[in-house]
Amino acid sequence: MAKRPPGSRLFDFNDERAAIIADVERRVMRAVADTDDRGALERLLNDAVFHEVARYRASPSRSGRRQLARWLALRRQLPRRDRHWIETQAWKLVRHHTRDIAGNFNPRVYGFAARTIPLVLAALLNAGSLDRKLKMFRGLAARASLGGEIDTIRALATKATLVYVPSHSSNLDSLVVGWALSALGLPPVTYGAGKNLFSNRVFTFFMHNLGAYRVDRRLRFALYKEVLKIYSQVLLERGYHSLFFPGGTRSRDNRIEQHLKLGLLGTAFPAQAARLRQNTPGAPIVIVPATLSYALVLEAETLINEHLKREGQQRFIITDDESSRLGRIASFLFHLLRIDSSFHLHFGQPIDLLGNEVDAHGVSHDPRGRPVDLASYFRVAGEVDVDPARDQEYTRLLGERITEIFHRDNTVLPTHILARALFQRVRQRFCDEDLYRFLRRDGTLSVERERIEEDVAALRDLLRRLRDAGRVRLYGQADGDSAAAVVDKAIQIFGGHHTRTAVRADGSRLLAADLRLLLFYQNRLEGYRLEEQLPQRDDAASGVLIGAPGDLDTAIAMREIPRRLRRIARAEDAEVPEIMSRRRWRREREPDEPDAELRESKPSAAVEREAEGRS
Amino acid sequence: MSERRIGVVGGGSWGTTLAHLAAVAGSEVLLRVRRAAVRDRINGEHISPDYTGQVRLHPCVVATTDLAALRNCPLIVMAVPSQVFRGVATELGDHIDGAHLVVHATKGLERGSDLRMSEVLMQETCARKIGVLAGPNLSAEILAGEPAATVVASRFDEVIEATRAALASTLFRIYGNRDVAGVEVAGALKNVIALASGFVEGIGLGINARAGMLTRAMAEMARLGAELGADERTFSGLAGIGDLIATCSSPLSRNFTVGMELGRGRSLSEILRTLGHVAEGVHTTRVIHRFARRRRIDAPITSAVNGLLDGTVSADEVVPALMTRVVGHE
Repeated sequence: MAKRPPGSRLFDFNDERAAIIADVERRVMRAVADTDDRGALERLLNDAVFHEVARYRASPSRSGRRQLARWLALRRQLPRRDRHWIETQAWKLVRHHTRDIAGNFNPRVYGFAARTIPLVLAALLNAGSLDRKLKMFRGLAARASLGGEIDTIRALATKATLVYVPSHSSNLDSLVVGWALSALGLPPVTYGAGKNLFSNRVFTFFMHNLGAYRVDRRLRFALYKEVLKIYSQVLLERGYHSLFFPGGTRSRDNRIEQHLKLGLLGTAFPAQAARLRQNTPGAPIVIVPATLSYALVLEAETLINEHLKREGQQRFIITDDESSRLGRIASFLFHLLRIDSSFHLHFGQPIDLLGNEVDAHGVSHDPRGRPVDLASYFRVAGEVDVDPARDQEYTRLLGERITEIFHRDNTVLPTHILARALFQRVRQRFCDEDLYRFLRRDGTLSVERERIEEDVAALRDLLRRLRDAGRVRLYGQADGDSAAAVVDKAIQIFGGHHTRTAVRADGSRLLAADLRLLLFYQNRLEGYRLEEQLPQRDDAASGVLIGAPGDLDTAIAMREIPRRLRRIARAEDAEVPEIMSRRRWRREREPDEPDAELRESKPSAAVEREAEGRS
Repeated sequence: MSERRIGVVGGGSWGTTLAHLAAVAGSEVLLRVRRAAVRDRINGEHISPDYTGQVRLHPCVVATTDLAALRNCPLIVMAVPSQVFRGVATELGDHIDGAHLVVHATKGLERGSDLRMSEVLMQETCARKIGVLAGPNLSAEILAGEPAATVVASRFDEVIEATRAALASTLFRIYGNRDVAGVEVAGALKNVIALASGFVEGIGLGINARAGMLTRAMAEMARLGAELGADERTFSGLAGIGDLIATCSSPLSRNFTVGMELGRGRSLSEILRTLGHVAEGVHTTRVIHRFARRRRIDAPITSAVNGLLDGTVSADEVVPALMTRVVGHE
């Protein structure tokens, strides 16, 4: 049996599952059907029909066609049927989706996972003997830096309902947070996971049995969103510790989330009001911002490309990214194990829904440390009540507060510093150029290393000052590292994972090998207004060399090809006027000089010879 | 009547006027003043000679020196100068909870931190339902019984409605707005322009110059404001152009006076010595000038005023410098 950390409500989930589902269904129907507006329900169904028909029209599969036929039939009947029929259809829809969303918690799988995820990760790494795997995993634990207000959170787990809100960079985030919670002896949480994540069997197994509920982002109709919100609200009301990614999706450009998706976060307010009204023990719902900082992000290349395309106004969805390929994950983790301070997870100051700090006893305090009566925020004419307009503003304030904490708790790592310094300098050189045009200068720009080290030193000094003022966090050895050491570390880390490295050292110069990756990593330092605080310099764009050293070799090689051709042509006293296809060139040479070597190496050459023989 | 109980913090001219307006509107009003002598005169003779002269206040204005007494007022209006705002807010924080609605009527940014007053309230109290009240509201005219309009900005409709219920009357018309930052920033920025406007007067230029300067200053205000998180439309409202017209037409405005003396060629230290008190706009100009430079925002009028205050530009140089800048479209 799994060890049960104190405050683990989730262990009771399966006993309550049926009741929860019934509760959600009842509430959704009450919200949508019990209104004076008789047309409301019909409009909701119409909205569902509209979106689902559009979705299945685009899907060519057989089941898609079946579903399309079903929805079209519904559409035909809708205007002719009575209210009872409409209610039944809505009820069926709500029922179906509530069941689809509702997760599962299997204590045995949890216990198994808690013991073996490390082994699974190590097995993925294909590291040989069991002993070695274990060592690898301990490596992972050592490389990961987990910190923050852990004692307060542990104490709160039994006194409050916790809502973890991590910053979101990678599909590995939920695994990392899940692993961190179990490693720290904190209770497991329920969370919404995109249905697309359930496509990988390993992920599906763990997610489904570890309390995740399914969120299908393809479903855009209002009734589905209502079911989702009420599901989340009911779980919070019943005191299940939860996890939301308030950014909604992974940060495409690697900036710390500036604008949060407030939908799910907003469900905490009616849940809080209900808990206060019932005077439930452990009444407060407490937000725990969890800031994740990766030296390398698994899906960086896909994410930044997606971001750039989206900014270019082209909507598209990537179905296959790095995180759906196990081999890719394995090599990524393998690389993470070899580098220092590979990722940081900081559990920030727990706050109540109004952004007040909460102490280990579950009591809120204002910024001056005075205790605050949480219920007072929810009173309408003396009674605790729900007020959607008010709660919407509260949610927005909470979102701003979380963003602020993300910035404060973000740990800046060497890769971010080097990417920032290098990108800013080369960008400055072409500051008038359109960003997209600029990004095509991949691999052609290099800077004297000395210059970059100066920039890195200035940046690091500023970041230290900001850290001392509590506005950002900085990796542990930052104070001891010289600028050259920061650069070396970053280059070493960059060297590992991505198909292309972001920066390459070339003698005394640093080559900006992949500008998009550099943009991605330097974005982690956006939102601090660093440029305004750095000393102004006149030579901010100097030292940039166009035409990278590496490229020179290629250019020479390119020039060399026609020269060689000409030499051959001269030897044969023939002309090689233009670049011709290899086959045509060979054919024209064929009668005098059969290229035996080439033919042997190419099986298809035999076929060609036959054909020529016939002619 | 209990829902229309309002507490006003600050016994200066604007605080006292707001308390008077609340009483006119039929609300139960408690005015918190610092000095017992002022309290006694308001409660006894209904006058506050230092701030409102011999004008008789509405007899329902009740003064107190005890901030804790405001605990029972669901709506509290803060009308204290920006220099002491934080201290008073901290003190107020001892007595309020999350249900209180707090509106401030203080113009300017906090010295040192450059924060807006609503941000200071968030740092010093547990209040969340916060608003700001600003507009073309010269106390003397309101106390004389003349009508005026103002704007209350808050993200919470409850705050706007409660303020309206407590203060609106046939004398005082209150518009709502959601752009808290915009209304606060407009109130600060217009002081810079009041200095510039006074300067135009002092140097002896006519109506064309002043109108031209004011219009371009509005554009500058909107540009800066947008960068500070404000909605540009707010600047064409009562807290923006409304307040600007009032300040720049009134010879009573301290900022205007300082600007005028600058136009006559006197130095800032001289002016402040004779004036005996500091004009808000002097501080604001410096903050805004620094801000504009940092963010690389085009703010010629602010930087000209800043130069005048620092004495780096003389009065006769300023106008030609502004007139010969590169011209673009409006």
